[in-house]
Amino acid sequence: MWHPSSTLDDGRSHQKREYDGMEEILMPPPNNQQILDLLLSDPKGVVIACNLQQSIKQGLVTKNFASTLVDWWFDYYRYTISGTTGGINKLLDALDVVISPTNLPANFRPGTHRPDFLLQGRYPTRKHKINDAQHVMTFTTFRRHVAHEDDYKKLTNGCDIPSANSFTNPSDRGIARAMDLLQKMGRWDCRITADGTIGRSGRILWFTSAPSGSTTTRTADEIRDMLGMIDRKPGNLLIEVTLPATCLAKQNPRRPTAMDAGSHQRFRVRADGKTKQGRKAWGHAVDLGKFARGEPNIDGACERVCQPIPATAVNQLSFRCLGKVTTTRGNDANDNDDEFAKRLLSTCPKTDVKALKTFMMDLV
Amino acid sequence: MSIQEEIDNRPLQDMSLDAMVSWLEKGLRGYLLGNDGAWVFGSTSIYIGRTEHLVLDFREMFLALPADRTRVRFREAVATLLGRLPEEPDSVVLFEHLLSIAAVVESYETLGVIRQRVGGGFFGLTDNLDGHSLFAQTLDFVAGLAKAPDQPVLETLDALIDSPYFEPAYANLALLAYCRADDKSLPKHLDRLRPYFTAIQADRELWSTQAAQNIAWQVSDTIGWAEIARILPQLRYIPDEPDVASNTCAALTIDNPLYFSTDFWLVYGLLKGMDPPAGLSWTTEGDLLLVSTENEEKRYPIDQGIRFNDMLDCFRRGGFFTRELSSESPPGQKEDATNSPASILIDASSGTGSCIPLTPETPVAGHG
Repeated sequence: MWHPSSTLDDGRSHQKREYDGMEEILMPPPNNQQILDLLLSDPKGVVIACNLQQSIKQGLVTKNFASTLVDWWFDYYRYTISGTTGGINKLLDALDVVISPTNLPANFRPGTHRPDFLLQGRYPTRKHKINDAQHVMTFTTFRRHVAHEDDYKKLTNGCDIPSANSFTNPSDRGIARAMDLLQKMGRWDCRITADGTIGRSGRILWFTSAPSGSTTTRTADEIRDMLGMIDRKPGNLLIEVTLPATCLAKQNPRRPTAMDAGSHQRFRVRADGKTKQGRKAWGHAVDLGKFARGEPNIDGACERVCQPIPATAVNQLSFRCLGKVTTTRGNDANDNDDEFAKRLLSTCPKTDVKALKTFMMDLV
Repeated sequence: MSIQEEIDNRPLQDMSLDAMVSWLEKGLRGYLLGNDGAWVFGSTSIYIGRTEHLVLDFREMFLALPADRTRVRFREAVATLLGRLPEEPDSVVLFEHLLSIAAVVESYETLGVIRQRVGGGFFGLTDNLDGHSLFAQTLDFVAGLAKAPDQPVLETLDALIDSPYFEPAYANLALLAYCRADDKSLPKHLDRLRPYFTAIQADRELWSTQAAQNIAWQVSDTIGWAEIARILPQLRYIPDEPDVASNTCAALTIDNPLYFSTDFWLVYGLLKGMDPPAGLSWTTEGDLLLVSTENEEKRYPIDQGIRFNDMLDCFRRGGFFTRELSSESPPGQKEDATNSPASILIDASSGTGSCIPLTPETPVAGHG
């Protein structure tokens, strides 16, 4: 059993662990300054700090709100590393846990209400018309957790791919063929299974609004790139769903903030295009292809977030197989985490690591 | 050391099988049925919430484990818990998630559990959509494990097909899984599934001729053309039942009861249809060849099997011999200089509607 901090005779903060009646004195937990140094020593941390700063500067969240997040985040990190070695990955994991709506351990800040950190981006002053939008998911999720079984049986047209085989490039030619045939089928309508949702239940749903038909000729790789989906790897079979505007309007759609993105490594709040910087109802994904090619403007598709859509909110939806992802992004010297952090620093006015540290110190 | 402390020290790696099963059950129950958050999984909770679904979170967690005994133990833990879950409505959601996890971590250890439980149990708990969905997930899981010749997969597929929850709509997935697990027994697989293909004849909303052709493409990709050429004369072209045998003289379209009740649907998908993967040709010696549409250099002699005459008759009545094909020697066969490639046109119209047996010796319009 871990206990919160208490104080030694010499005044140092420490923690203790009890096991079978024994008590073990542990190293003092890191203070905010040390956590901040850890955060900004890694490009992933720099990206998050940049986005927090831009979320405030662009008026998406208040400074107080960002400060509250950092307070919960750093404290939860201290809690999770008690008695173990910390590190940047644990720090990023702590952020993802704190922003998610799932319960925190009962003995972490007991009796304290945690604010909702997701879907808190402010609306713009002028109302935006919402059009039909698109969301991209993996085939496995579609097959196992979205598609209504009765509809699925009819729609595959003989191309029923075992969901476990849709993660990696299939060694079996028959499955590869089924993937190709499924892609050629075009759009199909399908109900959602009774307990299914579009978007992970309890989380948020990311969506884009591409002009009609603009994605139909693009490959899965191109769509993965324009949506900044860096975690989609070769062999992943992607499915696009079209979300009706009437349904989206009820799901609290917002422009994504640094809190919504969590530790996602190719998100940014500030777009390159000047007109897009003013278009505050939508964020813009990082186009992974443009970034890898070193283009000056790496704005991808527009994007927003909203609450996941339950089966009860829609009758049936239109789906389309985008095909397989064939390339990897983010592993080369010209498009890795380090390069992306440098890119964010260079495009945010008057921002370097030193200025970022000053900004973050102000929050903590 | 408590389970929680084991996890804290080295997530999963030093855990015994029993401890891992307890950790998995406690975690899934707390997360799915209770109000516990991701932390209920201990320090492995860092993987929870990263992807678009809990099951895919588990896949990431599994891939992060060292590729040693720990992964085996993880898969065993999934199988053990699946076998141990009480058959009660509250456990259905756990069963469903465990099946999905078994699929994404490729838990072969789970096959035995499936064979034990598929006859009833969870599948009998609900007769509504969820119950069917559970069966479909199980079949999807087993089909996903069918990658190479594999007796346990075949036995599990047999058990699933014998289950009262198996439906005609799943026949294509089952057929392809059979072919992957045993690529030398297509006629046997078709015999096994024929009642379901026959049922599709009555529920045509399920399959179109295009669906049949899509399956044919996948079958040929899975077992290869040489094997297709070997087994073509072993397929069933005439049904056993005498009442439908009278229809054998009728045109073989999808409206003919023979379309799905024999193997005609597959042969039609392979050799005719809108975009057939193969065609037919003759050598100058009168041997029948199977020719890949994608690469006409690939030609395979069709064996003289037990139903060779039935097959030729079916080809003729199905209008398979309407395409102009070049006549060449099959690969490996010494080509006679006098038998230079020549175009032949085989006219099906003369044979349509008749039952005249056709053999290689029978003169064929346009041949030679």
